[in-house]
Amino acid sequence: MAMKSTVDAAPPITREQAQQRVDQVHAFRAELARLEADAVLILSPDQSRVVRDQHDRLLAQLAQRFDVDRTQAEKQMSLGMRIASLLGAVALSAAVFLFFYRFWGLLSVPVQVVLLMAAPIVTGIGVEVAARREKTLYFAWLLALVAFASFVLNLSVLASIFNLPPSPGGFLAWGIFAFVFAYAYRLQTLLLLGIGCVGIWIAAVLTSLTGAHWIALFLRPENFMIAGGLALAASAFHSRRDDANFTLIYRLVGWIAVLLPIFFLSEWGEMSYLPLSPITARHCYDVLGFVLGAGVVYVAIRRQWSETMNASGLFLVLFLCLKLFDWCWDYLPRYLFFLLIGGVAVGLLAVLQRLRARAIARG
Amino acid sequence: MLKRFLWVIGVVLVANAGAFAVVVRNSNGAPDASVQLTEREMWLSNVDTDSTGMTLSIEWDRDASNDWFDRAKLASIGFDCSVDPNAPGAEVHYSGRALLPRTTYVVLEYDPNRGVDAKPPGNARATEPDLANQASAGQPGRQRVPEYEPRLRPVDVGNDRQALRAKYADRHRYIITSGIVRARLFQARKPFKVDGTIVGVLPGELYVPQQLQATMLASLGKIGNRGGPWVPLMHSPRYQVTVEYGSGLLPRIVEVKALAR
Repeated sequence: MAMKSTVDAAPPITREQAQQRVDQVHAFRAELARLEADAVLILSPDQSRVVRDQHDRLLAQLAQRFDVDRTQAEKQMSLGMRIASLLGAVALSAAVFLFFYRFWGLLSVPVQVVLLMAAPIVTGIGVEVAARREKTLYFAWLLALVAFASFVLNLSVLASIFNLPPSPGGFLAWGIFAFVFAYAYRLQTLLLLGIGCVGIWIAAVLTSLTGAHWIALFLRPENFMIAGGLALAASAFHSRRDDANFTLIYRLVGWIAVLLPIFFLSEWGEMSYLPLSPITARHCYDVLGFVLGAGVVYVAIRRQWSETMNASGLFLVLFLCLKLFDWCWDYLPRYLFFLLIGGVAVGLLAVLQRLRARAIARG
Repeated sequence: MLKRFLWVIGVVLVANAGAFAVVVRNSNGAPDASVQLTEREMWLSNVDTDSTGMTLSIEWDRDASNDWFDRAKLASIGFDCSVDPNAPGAEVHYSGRALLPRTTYVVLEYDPNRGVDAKPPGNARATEPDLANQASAGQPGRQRVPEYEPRLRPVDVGNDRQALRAKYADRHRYIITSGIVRARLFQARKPFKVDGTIVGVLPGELYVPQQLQATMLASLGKIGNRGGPWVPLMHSPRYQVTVEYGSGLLPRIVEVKALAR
């Protein structure tokens, strides 16, 4: 029985998908060993050999192409490397900032400008070199974060040197810069930074369109809901392209940006765009918080979006606690208040258990 | 690789070019204003071992009367002041949206003769270095000395820059700059009122070019920096700074002089 190499036959895959495939193989091997031990399924020696050879070949190919982790020990090492990369990126970025500030007063303006512009470009070249040398992209990721920090430094210091007032345009530039690295090298942290920066830019522009100064963007929470909506649209777009990791990040950030402002709007209705009195606006957001929070939990369970389900579930619980505090704290004895919260938590648990059972029944 | 590289360079170049375009446009044409300020109005804000860059923050008299910044003036720059502050529901109206800060043009008047006749308070018999040292040590309760107070004070705001310049034509006395303003509702005593306040000017800090930093440092002498803009000036100003506002209202320091003390 000849089996074709999965890697050769399959469409192009990402490193994360390759890692998932490796994990599947290990799970299959573990389960097959248990089935054989229980005498439920025993493959003939020929079948066993063919399957083992096929999997060995697949693992070798994936390891060569993507440098995936083939054992639990390798996985733990990878986690350590990720943490080390992050620490390195933060420390190197701080070093770049402090190094420049330590010497910038000694440099003439043209030299300052050249250095500021060169820093993100040179680090960007470093990202490309690192990405070509190692498939795991740890160094590329580290350098990409440093390049991003250098670009933030570039525009911030340029504004200082030429006495430019703070502008939201910087966030757009930083966001695009982060997106370039995110899409070119499939770096999720850079995607997160890009979404954050562009989200802030959208909220700032919308705030300034109302006549307020853009720095008041955090006093206009609904603007972030609009940015969150756009992130959700991007998530749907990536979903159609079967880009699981980026879809997940867009979706998670999108829902957080949509749900979190409801927290604040349900307390300070006067910050809403709704042409209603602050109290009515607050009540509207009370209702929206529960309806939308529960709706997202329901959809996330049905579609098996575990991250979204966790985030929206957490939102729902915290929102409920906040509202119970608003409504009951002044009127109920403390023991009764906490009893109420405990009762609600038990009720929620029951509802979620029911939803889970239904999902299992549906298969 | 080339495509990725071009994207990175493209983003960096476009963003920097955008900033330079603003700077170039600002330096085209005659300056909008040119004033000579001193340490009273330009406070050295950062000189330490971790940063060799030097910036001066613009300070104005925050206690100056702002009777001119009334409800009508607020309405003229876009604040929704349609509700009488004494009417029912005024508190709700002025509690959120109506109070969000807005950007507008602020006119700062520079009066070089301000504080000339003022006498230092009774405890000002101590020597200037003593006072400065106490001030930089952050001792509470230090009184501001009127003759060392900032001589810049806001006198008007508006969204029409040309109209403001026509009204305040003296370019050596009146600075027009972008600023952030906000409305305040006063309900301490009747009749209630709404007025405006200047939150900040944009930019609030000016970079001291490298070639001028030596003069600035020399002027500070033994007393050194005063420890932050929150410490009142307790001695006569030590430096004079010529600030030029370009046609785009971006300021730049063009000259620094040490003042004889």
